[in-house]
Amino acid sequence: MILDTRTDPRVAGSSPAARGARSRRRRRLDAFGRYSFVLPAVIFLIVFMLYPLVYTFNLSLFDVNAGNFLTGGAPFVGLENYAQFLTSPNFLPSLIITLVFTVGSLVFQHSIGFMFALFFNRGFPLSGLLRALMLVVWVMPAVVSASLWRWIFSGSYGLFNAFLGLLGIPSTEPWLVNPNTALIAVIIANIWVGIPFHMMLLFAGLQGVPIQLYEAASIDGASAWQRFWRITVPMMRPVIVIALLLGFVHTFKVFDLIYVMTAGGPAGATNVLSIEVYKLSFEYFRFGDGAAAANVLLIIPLLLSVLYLWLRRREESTL
Amino acid sequence: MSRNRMHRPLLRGAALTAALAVAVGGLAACAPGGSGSEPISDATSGPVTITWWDYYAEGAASTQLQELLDKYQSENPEVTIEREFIAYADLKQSLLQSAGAGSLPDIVVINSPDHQQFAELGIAANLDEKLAEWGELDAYPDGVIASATFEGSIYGLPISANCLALFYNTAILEEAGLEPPTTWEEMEQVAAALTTPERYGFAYSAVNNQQAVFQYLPALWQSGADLYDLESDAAVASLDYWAGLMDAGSVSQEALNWDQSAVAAEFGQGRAAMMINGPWQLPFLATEALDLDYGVALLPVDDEEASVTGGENYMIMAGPNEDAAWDVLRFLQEPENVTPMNIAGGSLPTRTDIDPFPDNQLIGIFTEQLQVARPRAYGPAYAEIADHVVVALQSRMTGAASSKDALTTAANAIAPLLPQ
Repeated sequence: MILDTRTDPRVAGSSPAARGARSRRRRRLDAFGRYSFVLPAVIFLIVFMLYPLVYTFNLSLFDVNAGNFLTGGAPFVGLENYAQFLTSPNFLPSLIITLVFTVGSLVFQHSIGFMFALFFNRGFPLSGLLRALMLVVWVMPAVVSASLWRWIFSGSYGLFNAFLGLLGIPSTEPWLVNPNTALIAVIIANIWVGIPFHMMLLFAGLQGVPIQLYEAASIDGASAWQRFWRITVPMMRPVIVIALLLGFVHTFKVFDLIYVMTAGGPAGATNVLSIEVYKLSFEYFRFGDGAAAANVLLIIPLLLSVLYLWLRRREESTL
Repeated sequence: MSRNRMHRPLLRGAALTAALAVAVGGLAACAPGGSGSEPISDATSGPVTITWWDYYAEGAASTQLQELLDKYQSENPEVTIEREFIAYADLKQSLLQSAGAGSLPDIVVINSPDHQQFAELGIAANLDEKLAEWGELDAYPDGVIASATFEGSIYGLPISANCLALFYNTAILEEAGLEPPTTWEEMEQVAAALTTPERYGFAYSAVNNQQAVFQYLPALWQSGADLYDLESDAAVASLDYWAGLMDAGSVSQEALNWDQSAVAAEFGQGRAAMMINGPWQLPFLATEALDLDYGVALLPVDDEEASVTGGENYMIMAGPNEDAAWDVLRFLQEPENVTPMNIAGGSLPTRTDIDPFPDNQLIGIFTEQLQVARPRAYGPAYAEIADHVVVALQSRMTGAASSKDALTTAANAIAPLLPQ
């Protein structure tokens, strides 16, 4: 560091004792200088991450409701809110729906995203422009995508039914109204939203796979299929894992897309945990219960985030 | 010191928002930009800024309201009214956030069934003393005031009042040689007879929110049942009747995705021969369905006559501007100002001493229907109660449960939520 060489005692040339005292003061100043760079990030994390987390946890231990939210004095109930939420008739169905939604979305988002990544990796005229256009889907506000898909899946005027009609299958099925198809329809919409995310991550990863490996394999007579499974997939493993983990974390708590498309209906068929949390806090004003539910919703992705960090550290240490 | 006190609720509001945002992921948008400045002055001295929230989209009601507010401001130059649009879906959340942050608006237009919930929160101003001094409360129908009453005190005054009745397409009924149905049995027959491949005989809303319950309650009450006895045979019969119209194909399955405006749009475009809806659709039909020839009839009857009342209230929020806000509200409640507001909003008269629609036949039928209409006076937990009833409705309509099972589940869930 430039700063260090300037304060080097050999350059300063004063008595050893004075030198020692000055360098100690210097070091303290240095340390302060270094920490001051970290400080904004630390403050940001404390204010926007830690404080809300602690606050929500604290809230979840009290029976906070409309009557005492603003006036204070909510009774301490320990973990009763959690017990109540976990045993409520809505919890288990909601958890299952959330998992189906997450896994269903992720499998297709990832595999379709992978196909696109491989496709774009071939590099053809205008592939850069097309790739950028695909990102529009990812950037679009969820409310817009959701309204679009609501229309696509509507019964009498829906685009999907019109498409089926072209294929010779006349249909007026209102897909979002039928509890058997509503969840599938919402998953399809979310797959569409998530493909560009996986595509971009995987595309970046593909760029890092040395071309020589493929050339060598071709000379040895490996088929395209073999090249994919024996070279691409093993080389891409870290990227695949990270894409799946990040995908899981943010699919698990998707709210706006579902809220606009079905609001959790029909008859609770798409009632994911995030919608349950929203209703408890912002519609029923049961803030203690809502906070407990929010923490339950938080814990599963949190565990996965820990797993992700651990994997990253392992990956870094092998580099 | 005062700074500290301001600070804590602010942090609390921010934290609640952020906490849920972390968990739910970006759903909690920022509270709409309030003016931030809270004038300390009272109504009698110095300039006052009143923050006003409503969810009126562009239209006759919004324009009329603005005219009245402008008139008030020109008569009272020391008062500035800052009107802000808050989407209906965001209103509750925005109010909560601003309450947490200690920067509440001064007057809010609120859907009447939500009024008690905010009175319970303690952020609405208690108007008992002001109303006593004012002395005009006798000019309001009891049902309308009931929706703004919590634990014996009054927290607001009406901006609009309505009830549901039956709209019918005159041309289609005449063509079929039929009269508007007066009983459930006739309803089933007429709705079936009017259904063709191009249109449905009847339309209602069964959307996944309170509107579906609003539309179903008349049928429940007509059977003689109530939310307190959802497991009774009468309640089961009412759901069988209501969902049965969909089973028979007389109501579109898509009703599960239609709110009341969508129902009016279907009716306006002739894709439904009849609908259940309120007088606030009259201005919409008058502008958007010019060629439509339609009439209004009383709802079909079973054991009893019944409809449901709805409407919106002005709610004054507790705070330093209570007196100034009350002065605005009193101005808006003067008969010559209520009249144009009722007309523009397609509202039934909110005061008994005015007649905004002399000789209007359609409004006349709504006014007659109002005589048997009941409020949704189910206490501050109504939002949660309504959600359980919607699940029952949708479960039955999608064939996931029988009427008996669906209503039993709902009855068990709402039992602890209903007021004793």
